[in-house]
Amino acid sequence: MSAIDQERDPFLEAFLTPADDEFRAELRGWLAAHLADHDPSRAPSSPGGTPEEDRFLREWQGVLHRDRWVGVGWPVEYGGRGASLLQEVIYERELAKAGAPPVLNAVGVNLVGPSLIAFGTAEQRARFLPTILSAEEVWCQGFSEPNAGSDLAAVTTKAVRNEGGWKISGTKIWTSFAHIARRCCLIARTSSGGSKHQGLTVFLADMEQPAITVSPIAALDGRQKLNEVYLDGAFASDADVLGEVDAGWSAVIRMLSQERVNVARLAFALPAQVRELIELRERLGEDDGLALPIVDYEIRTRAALLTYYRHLESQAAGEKVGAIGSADKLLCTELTKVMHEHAMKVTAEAGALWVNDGHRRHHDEYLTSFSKTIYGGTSEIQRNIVAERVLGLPADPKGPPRVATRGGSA
Amino acid sequence: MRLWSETPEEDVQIAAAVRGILSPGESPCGILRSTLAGAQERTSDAWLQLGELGFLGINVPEAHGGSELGLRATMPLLVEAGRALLPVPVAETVAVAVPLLSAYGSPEQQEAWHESIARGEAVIAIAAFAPGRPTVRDELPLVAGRGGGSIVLNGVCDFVPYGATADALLVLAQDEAGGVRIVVLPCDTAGLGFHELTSVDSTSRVVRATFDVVEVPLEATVAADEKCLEFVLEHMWAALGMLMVGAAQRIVEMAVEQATTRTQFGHPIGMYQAVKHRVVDMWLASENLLSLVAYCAHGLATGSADASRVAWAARAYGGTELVRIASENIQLHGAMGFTEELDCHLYLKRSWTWANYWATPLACRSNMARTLRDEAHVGLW
Repeated sequence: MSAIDQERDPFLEAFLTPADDEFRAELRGWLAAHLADHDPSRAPSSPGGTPEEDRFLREWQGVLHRDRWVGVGWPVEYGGRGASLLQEVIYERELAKAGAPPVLNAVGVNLVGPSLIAFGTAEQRARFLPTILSAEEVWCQGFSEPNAGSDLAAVTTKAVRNEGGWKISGTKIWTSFAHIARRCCLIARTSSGGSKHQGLTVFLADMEQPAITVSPIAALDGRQKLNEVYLDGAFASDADVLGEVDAGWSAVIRMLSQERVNVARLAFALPAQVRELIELRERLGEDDGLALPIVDYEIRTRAALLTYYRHLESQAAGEKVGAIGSADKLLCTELTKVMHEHAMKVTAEAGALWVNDGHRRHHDEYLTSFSKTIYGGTSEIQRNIVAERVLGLPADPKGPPRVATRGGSA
Repeated sequence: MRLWSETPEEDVQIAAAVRGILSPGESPCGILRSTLAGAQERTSDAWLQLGELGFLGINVPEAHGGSELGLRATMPLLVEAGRALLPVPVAETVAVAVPLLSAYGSPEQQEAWHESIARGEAVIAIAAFAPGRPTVRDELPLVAGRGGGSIVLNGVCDFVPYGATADALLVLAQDEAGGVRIVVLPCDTAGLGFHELTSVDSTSRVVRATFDVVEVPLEATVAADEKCLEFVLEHMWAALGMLMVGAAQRIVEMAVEQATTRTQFGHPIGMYQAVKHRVVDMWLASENLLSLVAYCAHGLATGSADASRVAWAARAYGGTELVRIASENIQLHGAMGFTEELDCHLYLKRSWTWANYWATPLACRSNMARTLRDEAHVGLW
């Protein structure tokens, strides 16, 4: 297997400026120095594993933070580097190539922080931004509820006026990292009477209060990441409202649009997966039948990356990205899933379905891969978004269903 | 850099102008249908018009009346030609013959051919394949013998698209030393015969060319070099990809149109996810193909390390995906999709030719599988 080509990302070259080259060179140097003894196969590949792993990731974020290598897209005055969109993409690409551990406080760094910078109050920025970067305060995102997943506006968690603030009651579900989070960015209903998109408010809630209980969810991959969060009169002050009261839906839209590189991580994980499949096949005996599918995945990986860069260019030129990002997410998540499945097939063919240590990671990652096409908008929703906003196809029928009659057909 | 092009604004303008000539009506297949009905005029007229406006000289050297831009710059023309399923050997003429002559041809040959190609007065087909599969195998079917100051060609070449209506042939022959000799000769050269072949693709006029002691001067040799076959393959593949992109985009357009305007049970059928999601998957395939093809052309021009691997990838991907989405398109159009009245069947049929011409999807994938260890990483990790 050839050595990793550090020098060139040919399809990226066409887009880079000298400033981007410098940024990349500095980052590479830093990563080489700080990851010299790092073995990606032994480090947590995502947060939400054991407490030891989370501690390790918290420390790693601290190391990044010390040299201002977390939140690179944030303005310099808030502790970032003012990196351009392309530089943020370079950042994700280089960290992926170096096999660097993930950033623990991703919700804070990539979602909440940029939103506070864009439309939070000065006081909120002063209060929250520094501890986001240092990972001193980990954030979680309280959006989904048992009855409000794809249909997020159907949330029923209520916030009622209380002295100096609000009392919030309801249940949130699929809340990643709630078990280690200090803060929660959540949506609740503050008034009713209009359409379901009206009367919602975003709160920046303190997780450390007795009125909030976190209950872990047993996920099929054995990872401790997902939780239910019960709010029983949890308090949030007026200063903890993000944006305007009752204008939460547009705050949510703005929040989600602040995340510029959410697909980058997915896209840049693909080449390493292809490499692993090739190595796996070689290790387990070079069956010809197992090679052709890998070629397909290589082709689709090249296509997904090239398409991602094309779309990135439109985004960098200021075109609205939302719907196109859905296409990229769709391509990347479905591809990663099918590649994990192939790794499983290969290990099964080699008689390693009942685990020996060498293949444990493949089994674990395969199980986790099921979440990729579900969270952050299911593949079905992404297809709807592309269909409706890119291709102009009509929206799904809404409203009460026609009742089907049982028995007897033509 | 928009789509890895050096001339992004011009690309848009050229595409619009070419579309205006090739696809003026609702159906871009008007010119094709006219040819299929037996009338060549619309095709010839359109081709001459393209020549007059300079679109056939995009990559012809300035000294011969062209714009001297590279392969990538021919993409708007080829994409629009693909969209229209133009019954002309566009790829062979514009994307292979012109650069081949520029790279290898003598000044006399360039003089003889470049200008007339640019003006739309010369269309060139390629003869390279032994009967059976239209792919290059170890031994070329034509033998180029030497007799005095001439070359004598003998043999049978199958699968020459539009050979019967072309003005000249680029012939890939096996010469006595065992290498490849590429020769250009007019289609009315003595000893050349053309016989039409039938295929599932009734949209391509594919012929068998028979060479019965066809004598051409030595100066008709364009190239006799190790690398010239690779040159032809690279350029042909890139151009086929561009044609396929045009077709793919039109297929998706038809599918979207159908899903939006066909109503049943009181609603457009595209309202239902079963239909909607299939259309999205077709669009994703066309987006991926566009990315691979555009980057491939750029990579070939800039000598990028991953250009060759991407070319194989584009060829393999395009071959299977174009047939797939053309098939889906028929299904989405219901019973009407099954008729000759709609264009769906034209795209399906042509997709089989493009998918298997110069390489089959399976052969591409098998080759890529053989070189996984050495090539898969290039440009990826």
